[in-house]
Amino acid sequence: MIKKLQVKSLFKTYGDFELNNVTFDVPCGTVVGLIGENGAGKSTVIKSILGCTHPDKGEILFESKNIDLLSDKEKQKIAFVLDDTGLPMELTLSELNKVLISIFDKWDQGKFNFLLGRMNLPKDKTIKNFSKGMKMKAAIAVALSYDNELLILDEPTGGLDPVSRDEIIEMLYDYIQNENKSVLISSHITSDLEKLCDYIVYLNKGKVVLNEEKDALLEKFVIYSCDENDLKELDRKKVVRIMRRAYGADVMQLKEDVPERFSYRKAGLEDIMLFYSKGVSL
Amino acid sequence: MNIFISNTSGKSLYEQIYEQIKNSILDGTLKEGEALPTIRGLAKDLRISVITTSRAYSDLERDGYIYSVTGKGSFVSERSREFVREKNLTEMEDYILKAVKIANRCALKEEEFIETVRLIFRG
Amino acid sequence: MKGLLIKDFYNIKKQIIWYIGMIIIFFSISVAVKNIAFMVSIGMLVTISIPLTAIAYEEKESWQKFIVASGMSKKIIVFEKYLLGLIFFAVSSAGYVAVFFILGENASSLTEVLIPVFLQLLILSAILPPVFKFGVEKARTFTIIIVVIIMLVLVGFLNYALNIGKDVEIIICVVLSIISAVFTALSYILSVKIYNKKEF
Repeated sequence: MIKKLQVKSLFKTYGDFELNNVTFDVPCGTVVGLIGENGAGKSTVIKSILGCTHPDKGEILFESKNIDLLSDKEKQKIAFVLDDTGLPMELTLSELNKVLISIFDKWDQGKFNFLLGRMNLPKDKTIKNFSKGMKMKAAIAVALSYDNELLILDEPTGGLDPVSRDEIIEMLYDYIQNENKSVLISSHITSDLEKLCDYIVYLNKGKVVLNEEKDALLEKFVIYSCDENDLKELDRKKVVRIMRRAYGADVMQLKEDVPERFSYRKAGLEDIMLFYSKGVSL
Repeated sequence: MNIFISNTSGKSLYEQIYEQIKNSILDGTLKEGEALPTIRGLAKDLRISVITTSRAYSDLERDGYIYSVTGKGSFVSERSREFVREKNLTEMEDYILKAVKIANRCALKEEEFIETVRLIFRG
Repeated sequence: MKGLLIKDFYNIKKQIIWYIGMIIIFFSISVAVKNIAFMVSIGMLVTISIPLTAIAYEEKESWQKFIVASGMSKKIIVFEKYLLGLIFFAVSSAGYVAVFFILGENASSLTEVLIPVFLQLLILSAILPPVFKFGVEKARTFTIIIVVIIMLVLVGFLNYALNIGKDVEIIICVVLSIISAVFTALSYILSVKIYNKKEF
């Protein structure tokens, strides 16, 4: 499969935070979800791709070309939605339109106005008076109003109500109706991503723990409960993580490794994140 | 055609889509040559990933129910009614086999079994 | 570039209107009391404050992250802030020159007009690199120190220059203008270097 974006062996240290050998791809025409707890390094990865931070080591390729070597016009093929939107707060959206015409080479005013109408965003109200959801929708409208090929979103649904989240997901589905467009979306709210994403990259403490096709990942792990005596009998190597409770323990394990006597349930993305971050090895 | 997916069903999403489209073809809801929803359109409608949908479609294509034209989309295969009949008969036989197994379990006589079938068949 | 300027004008519209109002008021006072000092002090304040206000807004709303991510060249992003300063440098300088012509040479000397003109440029050039490096808030103390030092040096220099007569005055002005231009260019180059290393 043709790769739209390749992140190769990214390292970055500041203070006690580090990105450690982060490697993953965004194949052409797919949606990749970058998940992890707050502080896992998702934003740093995204900022590195967008040129807002400089990794200590590693390489990022867009359409097989190092991002540092892209021309200004080529960089505009990568659209983005920042967690804090970055929009100038004192402007109205119709003023913003006038600004962005001269910033984005392929800015489409008609499309912008259409999207604002569809999302019921007022054109003559200053952005600072918008609610959080409206700001985020405005930022997404900006990203969708010029011709680009890769859309990168940093926590676009964080802190939003379910209705706004759904409207945002709807817009992302519209974006990927064109099969040449790819999306990289970071989030710690996995329920939105469980639907949309083709691939999941799970980042934990700056490292890529899992990088798989979502359907396969959701079939991969299962969870079952047992007591301390059961724990002693389990095959240590096959247990991925356990979480001890006051009255028992929960075990996450590959589906095919579960001993027959236990009845289990499939682990969702949130379970997987929880077990990797809070659970321990046996 | 309607497609419903369930997260609580034991079956994976792509299997559910596969089954429902197959059934719509077999029962004639989807006619020969009729266009299917686009992969990306269906993914959006069902709020599932593109890969899941395309996997269901490629399995349907592999099993001969649909065919794809690059740039145009996917269509219900144009084949003789025999094929559909064949598929339906196979499915029917599967169910009869199951029914017979249950009949054997409670030692039902052949005549009794056929009589039951006859009653049901006549409604 | 154009987009960036339009954005700044929209974003700090209120402040710009307010500052222009102040220029008009101080201009009138200068003419009324026949003292260029009023116009000079407000002109200086406006030239320095406008780019700093614009940058402070950008930091607050993380526009800088947005514009860097959009792929805009960092040279252009930095240059636009210098240009914004230069636009108001031109407005203020025009004000000084206007006061000078209205009052006539008896009320103020050419040096008295030109020194503050270059002074604006020197201060602007001295404070923009640290502002790009540390942000408006953190560079504030530094900004104040720089302004005071440059003012003291130049005022001392001015007193000295006024004592040496008209012929030397012109030479001093020419030298000062060259120094200011070179200083501004170097400041820009330094700011671009700082911006290239900056993380958003």
